Amino acid sequence: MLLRRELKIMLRSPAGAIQSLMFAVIVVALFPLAITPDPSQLEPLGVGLIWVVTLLACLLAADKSLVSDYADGSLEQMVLSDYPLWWVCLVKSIAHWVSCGLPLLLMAPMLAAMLAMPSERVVWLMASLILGSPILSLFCTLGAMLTVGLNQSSALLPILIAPFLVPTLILGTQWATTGGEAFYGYMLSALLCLSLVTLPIATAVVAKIAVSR
Amino acid sequence: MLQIESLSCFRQDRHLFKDLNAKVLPGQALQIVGENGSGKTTLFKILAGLFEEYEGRVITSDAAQLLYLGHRYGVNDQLTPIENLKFLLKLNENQLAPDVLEAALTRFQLRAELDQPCASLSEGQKKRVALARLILTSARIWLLDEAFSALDAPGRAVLSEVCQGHLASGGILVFSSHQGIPEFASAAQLRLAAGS
Amino acid sequence: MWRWFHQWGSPKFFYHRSGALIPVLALASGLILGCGVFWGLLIAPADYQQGESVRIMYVHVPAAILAQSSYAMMAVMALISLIWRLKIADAAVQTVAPIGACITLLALATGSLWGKPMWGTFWVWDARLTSTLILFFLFAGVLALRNAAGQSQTAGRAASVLAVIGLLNLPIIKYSVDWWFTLHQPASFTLTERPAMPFSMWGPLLMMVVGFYAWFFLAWLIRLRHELVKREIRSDWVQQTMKQ
Repeated sequence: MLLRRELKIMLRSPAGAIQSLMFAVIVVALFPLAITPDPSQLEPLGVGLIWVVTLLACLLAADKSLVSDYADGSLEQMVLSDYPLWWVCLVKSIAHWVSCGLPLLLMAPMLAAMLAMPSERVVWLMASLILGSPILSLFCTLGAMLTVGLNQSSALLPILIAPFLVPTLILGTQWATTGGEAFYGYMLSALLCLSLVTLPIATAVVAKIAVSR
Repeated sequence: MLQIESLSCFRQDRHLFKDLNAKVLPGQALQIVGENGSGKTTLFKILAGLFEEYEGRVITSDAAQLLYLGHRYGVNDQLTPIENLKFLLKLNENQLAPDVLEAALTRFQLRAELDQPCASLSEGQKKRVALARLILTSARIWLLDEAFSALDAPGRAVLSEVCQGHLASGGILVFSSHQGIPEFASAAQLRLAAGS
Repeated sequence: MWRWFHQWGSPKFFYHRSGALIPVLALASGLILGCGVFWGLLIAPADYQQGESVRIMYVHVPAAILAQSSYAMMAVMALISLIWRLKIADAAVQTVAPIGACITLLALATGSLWGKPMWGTFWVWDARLTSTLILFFLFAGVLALRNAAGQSQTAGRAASVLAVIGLLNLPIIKYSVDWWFTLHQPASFTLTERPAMPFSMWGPLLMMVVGFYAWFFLAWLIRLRHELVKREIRSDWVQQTMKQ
């Protein structure tokens, strides 16, 4: 029910999702221009670049839906609703992933092609993004909840959240560049499970604080 | 029943209000009176359970469900009035048929706008979407912060009708308003003095 | 135990009782730091490999240790303020955050200065330096959130949640940075884990660590007392204390 509403709102105003996609494409396009068009030099950078760009695009789109929910009072009503608050927060994270993580994931092969990545590595890049991008979305929702209603919220959010994304970034890029070494895969999955269980609860605590501002 | 016992609230080390006491029985209305900045909205948030930094007690009889409508009343711009209303009611698990929703919106003169996104509605019309929820809710305690403002005369008439019906059926109404509402002139008043 | 907890949780009680600690801490930190600096910089031997530049260690290592434990202390205070709603714990979080950030910055700066003679460059992506850098970002986040959210208690609670989440994530971040580091270059030379340091070196080092802690608590206490007075300026006990 909550999720249906989120998706409906998203489909009626797809500009946000398209913006973060365009951001990713443009930033990736800038790197060959800034460094070199030489495939042999671009290739080792590929995985890291795409991961960083994905991370930035997620942070950029993190607070869009929450800001509007906060401004029109829906957030207050959701906090007061009979739904458990952690569930509301989890739905927010899922919606963020559908609007941001999923399109970027689907776009990743194209970005990889722009950076001359060999195809077997693209597979592992996709795998690492499948496990990693939900963690990004969970943290982004937490950050959005922490900063919603504050003055310079969109500048503040990356400062607060980026340090927390370091383990995900390291594990994700390592997993992809080592061509799927099992250890990193397990660790990334463990991190995903841990985040999935704990972060919605933490976000719920923060949501209570956000509505009392 | 809704009871407030020696309620005090500080914000930025000044007293917003101090030692408030009030008791509202079923079928009664309570008007919160005070100037801008005297803490009306904060008081409403405390009653709704959204704001927890206070001293004193707020007691509600257990089964009584609360409905809180603040300055921001939860109407999303991308959704239509019907969708908004359905969502807001479902938050507290009221499942309702579409024609019931339509009837409620029609009563608040939104017949023509049922299927437009709320972004194209005026501020007063959006407010009516949120107010239509009052017709259908099963909540027994209504907390209406400035619900009467930004409404035209017919809108206010419908709202006060709905509120009177709520009181007649044994509900509790707490509201704030800068204008006097003649229908509720006899309601008990709780005055918040600014800067005490 | 609870009684004790409650008493010290009251700003008035804390303010009146903690005053006596200031001269003690001031004397202790001054004396220990003075001796430590003298011992470390003048008496302790130079390293046979690194020469005189090893003396940066006497500032860097205590700062690095203190940086981590000050974050832990901040997060514990944050947890207390979230659970028991103690005003004093919230003030403690607010006052320790800038000190912790400065200490972390000091650890980074001395680390990079030490890196110049050792590695020939001011910055190397060493595991320890990297996780200290991330620790600094975590401090910066708490400070920035606190700053943006203003003075209210709600603002404090948001920053407290962030601090606690940071503490829970700190081990994960540290481990992942360690993996990342060992993967990229097998650890050859870390700053502190060195084989069998002679007493003439770890003696002054230990002294500096203790001195840093004493100074840290002194700075924290002074800031906390100041903050408490500022927050409770309208209350009777502050008015009375000010009159005396």
